[in-house]
Amino acid sequence: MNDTAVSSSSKAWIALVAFVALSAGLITAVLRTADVPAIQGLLWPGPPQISPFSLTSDKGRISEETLKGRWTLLFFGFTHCPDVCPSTLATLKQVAARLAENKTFADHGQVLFISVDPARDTSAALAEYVRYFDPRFLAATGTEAELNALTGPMGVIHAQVPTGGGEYSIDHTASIFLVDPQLRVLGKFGLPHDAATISAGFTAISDFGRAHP
Amino acid sequence: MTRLGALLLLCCGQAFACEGISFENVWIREPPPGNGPVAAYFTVKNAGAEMAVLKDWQSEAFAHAMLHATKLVDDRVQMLNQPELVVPAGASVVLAPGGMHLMLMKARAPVLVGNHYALSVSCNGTSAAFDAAVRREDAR
Repeated sequence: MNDTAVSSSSKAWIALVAFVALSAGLITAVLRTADVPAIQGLLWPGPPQISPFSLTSDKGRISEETLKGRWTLLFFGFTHCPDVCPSTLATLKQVAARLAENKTFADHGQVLFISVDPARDTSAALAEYVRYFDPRFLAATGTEAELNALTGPMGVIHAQVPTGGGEYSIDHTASIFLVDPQLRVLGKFGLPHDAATISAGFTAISDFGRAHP
Repeated sequence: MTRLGALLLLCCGQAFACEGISFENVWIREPPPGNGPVAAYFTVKNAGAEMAVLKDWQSEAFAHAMLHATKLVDDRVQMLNQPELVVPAGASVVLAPGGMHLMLMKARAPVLVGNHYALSVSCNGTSAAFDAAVRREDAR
């Protein structure tokens, strides 16, 4: 009888502690969410984190170290993509021009194009391709496993789709991502890509990111 | 009826079958370096009284031509082959970046700004031709 009373009392305490902990967690989450400003493209709270990866460019390896300390606009595509990829890179060229006066981008910004078509895109061909848009742009690719180390944790999709006659296209994630110097994926800009929107988003998100280290 | 139809087709087929079709704002995006396909964009206008069905796109300057639609599903971009392009009577269909485009593959010579290319398509069973010039995308 007495044991039963103690047991009931313990259960009540455990339930109370669990309730308080859950409530505190919920309140914290609500407060954090309430703290989020209405910035288009901002991924907050809990932005995805870039995982270690290693890809090949014409100038050597591109890895998470290449992104550390920089604000990186990141886009996934392939050079045999006739529509969305050249349009997006042309937009990113306009974004870079618009952000020329933005000190964060001018001093610490970079644009990185990742080809998800390593069978057709050599690192040398990729470099020539992106420099057509802007000589400062970086480009890299890697084996399927190397690509997946980067794309998997980000939720980026890429899949070959046969188009007949031995040819193929690649379905891929269309968004442009903004990675901060701490490797947090703080921004995501979906189609349609508009240079004014992305430039404004970069400025607002980088300001937000610096205030929320 | 069959004889009459054949006679009409022989004598005035092209004018009748594809009457009122025009291709406007035609341009080919200057391709970045590489040997990838290039995209042509234009508006197909059907001022005629008949629905137009366009298929079998061709250009002698390229090994293949295919009409594609860019489709976005949950942030995943897909290219879908369009075997036919249907333009209702009195309507227009716009091919523009991020939407539909004519994909031109395996150019027989470098595709350069200022070059003009003859394109053709079967329109309601007869051939329609138009011309496309290469431009930089930001020069539109």
